[in-house]
Amino acid sequence: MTDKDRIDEGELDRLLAGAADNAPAPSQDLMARIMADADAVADGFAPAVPEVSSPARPGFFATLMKSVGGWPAMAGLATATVAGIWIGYGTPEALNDLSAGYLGASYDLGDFMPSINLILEEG
Amino acid sequence: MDKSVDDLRDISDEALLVAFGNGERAGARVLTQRLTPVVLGFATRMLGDRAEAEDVAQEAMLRLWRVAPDWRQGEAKVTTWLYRVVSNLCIDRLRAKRGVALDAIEEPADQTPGVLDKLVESERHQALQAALDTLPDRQRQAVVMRHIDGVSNPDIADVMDISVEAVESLTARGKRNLAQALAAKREELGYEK
Repeated sequence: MTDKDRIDEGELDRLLAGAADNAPAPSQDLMARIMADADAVADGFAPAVPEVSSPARPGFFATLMKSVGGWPAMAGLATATVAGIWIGYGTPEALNDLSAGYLGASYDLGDFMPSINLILEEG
Repeated sequence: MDKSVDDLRDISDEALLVAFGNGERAGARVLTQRLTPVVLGFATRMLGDRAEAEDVAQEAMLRLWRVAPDWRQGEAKVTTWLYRVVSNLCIDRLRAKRGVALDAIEEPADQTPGVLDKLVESERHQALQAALDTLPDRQRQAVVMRHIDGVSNPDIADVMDISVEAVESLTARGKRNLAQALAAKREELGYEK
């Protein structure tokens, strides 16, 4: 190979540097297409701050249930309520017998608790 | 609220990409202006075809937009990431075109006589591109990045997933082969014999 058939390194470097200075400029059309792509992609992004829905406030009965201990406690309360009503309406025969034994037949329960007769009459 | 493009001129590529991922569209405008010439220039040198290079540039930038929401600053440079994407897209296209004879490459278009300096310069660039086209893909990739785009050897190593020593070896062999391919076109280049 003769000298005239060779490209020395300096020549090659100058040629490559010249290529760098003459890089192809993008057309306005290409820039517009790339920006349109960016806008289309951005349209699909999730909102930066997602909406946070506030939790529903518990209702009055839910608060009451929670305060007394839930359904098991409510069952106990219901039983006590029914028992109380039954006791309240039941005729206190045993109490009459007891007072007759101690005080004699001349006294009635109404003598000691006048209001009991009123309650029993209405009942 | 969208910031103006001027407000973002001094911000790094990585920060702009993260901003775009968070809905700041002006970030994409600045990145488009800043990076499209780099991407297009590299793709053009790799493919030797302007129209195909534009397709690759658009595709690479589209992939960049899509990755924006997941981009984490400090993990990679945007330019390194783009060079890798463009390299892969170009090499895929070159492989798909394999089998096309080298002599099927278009002859340089006729130039209007009268602007001799411009004509010689244009012929030089066409000869350089023709010589680049004869290099193996990886050599061309390394030579274009190092000697035309001025990318550092460590960054090229990162893009090509090889050692810095391998990059030096590739660029050295690439330049030797380029010089041989150009020697035959010496007259076209306008150098003294």
